[in-house]
Amino acid sequence: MNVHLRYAFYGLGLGFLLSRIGFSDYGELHAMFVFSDFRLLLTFCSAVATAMALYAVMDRRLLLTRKNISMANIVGGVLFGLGWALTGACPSLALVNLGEGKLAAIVTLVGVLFGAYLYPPLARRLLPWRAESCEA
Amino acid sequence: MSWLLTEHWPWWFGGPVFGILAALVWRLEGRFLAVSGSVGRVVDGEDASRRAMRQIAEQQPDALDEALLQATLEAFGEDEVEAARALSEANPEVPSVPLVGPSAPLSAHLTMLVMIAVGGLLSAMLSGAWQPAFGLGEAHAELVAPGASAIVVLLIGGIFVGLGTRTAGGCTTGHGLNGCARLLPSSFVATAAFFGTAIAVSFLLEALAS
Repeated sequence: MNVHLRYAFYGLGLGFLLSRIGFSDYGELHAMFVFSDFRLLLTFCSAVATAMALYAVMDRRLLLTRKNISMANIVGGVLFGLGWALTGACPSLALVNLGEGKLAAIVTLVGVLFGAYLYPPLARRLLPWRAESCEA
Repeated sequence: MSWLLTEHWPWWFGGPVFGILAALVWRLEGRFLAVSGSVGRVVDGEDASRRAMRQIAEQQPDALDEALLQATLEAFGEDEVEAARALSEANPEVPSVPLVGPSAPLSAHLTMLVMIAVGGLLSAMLSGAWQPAFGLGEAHAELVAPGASAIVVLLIGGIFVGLGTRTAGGCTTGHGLNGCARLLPSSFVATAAFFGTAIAVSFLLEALAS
């Protein structure tokens, strides 16, 4: 199957899933963060557990390579967490929110794209650590 | 079965489905399902070095493998490389896992991002909750900022998300789901950092709102 069709399916599935689960609902997300409702946290944990089990079965092992911990993981993580709590968005959730009709997410998305755009120039001077990426 | 469309999924259903999707992407692409990387690719566009890499891969597919092998030999020495080869030959039933599959074209990443929004649209329409409005809901208006004043917060917050996820090398699906499932130390650290910060800030927001 053509790569575009596959990626379209992954996007559709992910967006639909995140919305149905309720990660895109700021109220629910907040409830997870302040521990007043455990549904999303349990969802996340069971997702990790399921993926872990499937990876172990598929690859006969889990560990891929010893990725080194970098300051970038911490600094980036803190920055991201701050943004997440303020906007209720990680890159995917901003898109899901937009699709769901929460139009303010356009602003979030503009911010996310701009922040991503700022990374290469800022990286060398202000954020000089290389994080090994999990990325596609 | 209508709860599938009208109610938020229970944790024992949503979680496993999410995990299955992640594993499926790995199986088919040899890469992690991850969104911030796609955002980065789309925003960076195709610069000269990327184009050159792509051309080399198309015209001389072995050149990259050769270069990688050379680099590996230089880094680890012949003995290590030989030992690794012998190990994998001795264990043919263990599938050799490609550390990373071929990179998808930029247009595929863009497609995926657009379709994530479409997925949200589909979900909202099917659940009958489709009611386009400016805000992010009551909770956000109460805890963060109501109405139009949210614009500044969302813009700045969005910048933190975009910059933060690229700096950390992943987002909630990249580091949080896949990285943790594969026991990557960098992912544990990143996940702890972003979850911990989000938790702290959320408590703060709650305190400030009351």
